[in-house]
Amino acid sequence: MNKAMIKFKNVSKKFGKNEIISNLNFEVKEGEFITVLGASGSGKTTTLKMINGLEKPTAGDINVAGYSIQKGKLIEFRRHIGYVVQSIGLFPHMTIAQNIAVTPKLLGWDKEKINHRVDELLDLVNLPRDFKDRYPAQLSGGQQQRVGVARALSANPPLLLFDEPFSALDSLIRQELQHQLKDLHRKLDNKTFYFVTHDINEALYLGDRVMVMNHGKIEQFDTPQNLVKHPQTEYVKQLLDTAQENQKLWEALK
Amino acid sequence: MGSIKMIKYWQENNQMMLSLTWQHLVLVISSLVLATIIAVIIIALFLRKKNWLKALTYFFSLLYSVPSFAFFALLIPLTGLGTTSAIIVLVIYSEYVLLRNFITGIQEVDPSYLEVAKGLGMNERQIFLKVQLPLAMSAIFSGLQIALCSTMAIATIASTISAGGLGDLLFEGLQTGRIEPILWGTILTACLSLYFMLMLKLLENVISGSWRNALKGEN
Repeated sequence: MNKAMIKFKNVSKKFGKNEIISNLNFEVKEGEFITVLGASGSGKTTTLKMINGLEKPTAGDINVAGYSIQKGKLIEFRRHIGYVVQSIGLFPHMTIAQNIAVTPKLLGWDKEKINHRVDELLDLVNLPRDFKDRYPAQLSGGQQQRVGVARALSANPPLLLFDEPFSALDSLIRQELQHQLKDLHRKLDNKTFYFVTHDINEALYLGDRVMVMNHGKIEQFDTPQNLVKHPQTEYVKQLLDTAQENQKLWEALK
Repeated sequence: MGSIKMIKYWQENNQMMLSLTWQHLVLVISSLVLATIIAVIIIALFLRKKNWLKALTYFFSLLYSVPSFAFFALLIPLTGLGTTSAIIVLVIYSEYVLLRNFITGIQEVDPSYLEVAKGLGMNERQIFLKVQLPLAMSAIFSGLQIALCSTMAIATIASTISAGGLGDLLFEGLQTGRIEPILWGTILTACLSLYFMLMLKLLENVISGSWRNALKGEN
């Protein structure tokens, strides 16, 4: 439980002359549910993509599950990290079963094991098994995201990365999925979830710890309670104020 | 009156006409198959080398602009009269059309899919074969259709270098001043084109029909 899953040490990332991430240091422990909160351009997605090597740091060390992210072994390495993205994530030309089976196939599992795993995962994310032969276009947005989660879990990775997976969904379905994702994290033994979002309520609800990012730096990385009780920077205060502003609106309308 | 002459011509020459149609078919289909294989190899090799791909497409566009009649004639000293020269010319002509369409189709695949594929652990080759190629299928097939029609037409000129085919009927008509063989040649070429267009459509449906229909909301 105390082992480090993700370690960033003095990590910087530049795109041309623009520094997107500057000197980032943090550590995520095994089994934690981390949410990363930030506006667009805060560097939160770039940080996530550096964890599975889709972006390479300009400087610094990144260590994931005990492996230093090096060139060459990245392809094999990515097969052991779950990856869930926004609505466009599923391949439209593959059935639900084929989508879920992408990584197991890359790992060379036999057919029977893959079929069994697909059934198991559909059960886990509360989708009927007869969805297997459908195509993504035949599913609703919420159902597609469940498939996305199932696909990320397919090879039973210790770490799952979520890149704003629920942002395109309407609020009812989003809330339902948030509850289920939190349950899922509890149910699955010792899996680390790293979840990027721009929704403050989502971040506070889901995360064991919340990382607030702004302009490529961490403003605060703390439990939701500490964050609300002891905001450490002006930016965090402002963010929380917007949430409270909403609260006032609710009170006024009641 | 005319139709009687047409029927009479058919009755007298149907053996020869059918064998010319067969020659034409072999000429066109083997050229197209060769051109497709070459196009896929070129793209697979140079997909990440954009400048190479650009240069190659430019090169084939230059060849494409050479008049077909001249092209056939120019090849005679190199590969002689007959089928080989004809197929070389036809492959070169369709190569440009195929490359253009294939490249556009593949480059228009949404880059988010490629990133997801990479994130799930696919290597470059797997991304090409399992994601880019299938998602580019409709562009690939429209390229094949255009290439098919133009090759069907250009192949008639191969008759001038004794490669046979339905061009023989056209040139026979021109030389003897008869309209029937010209009409028959045209009709048979058109029929052949239509038939293979249909085959292409069927093939496309087999390959990507089910998910295309799913996109359209049909089950």
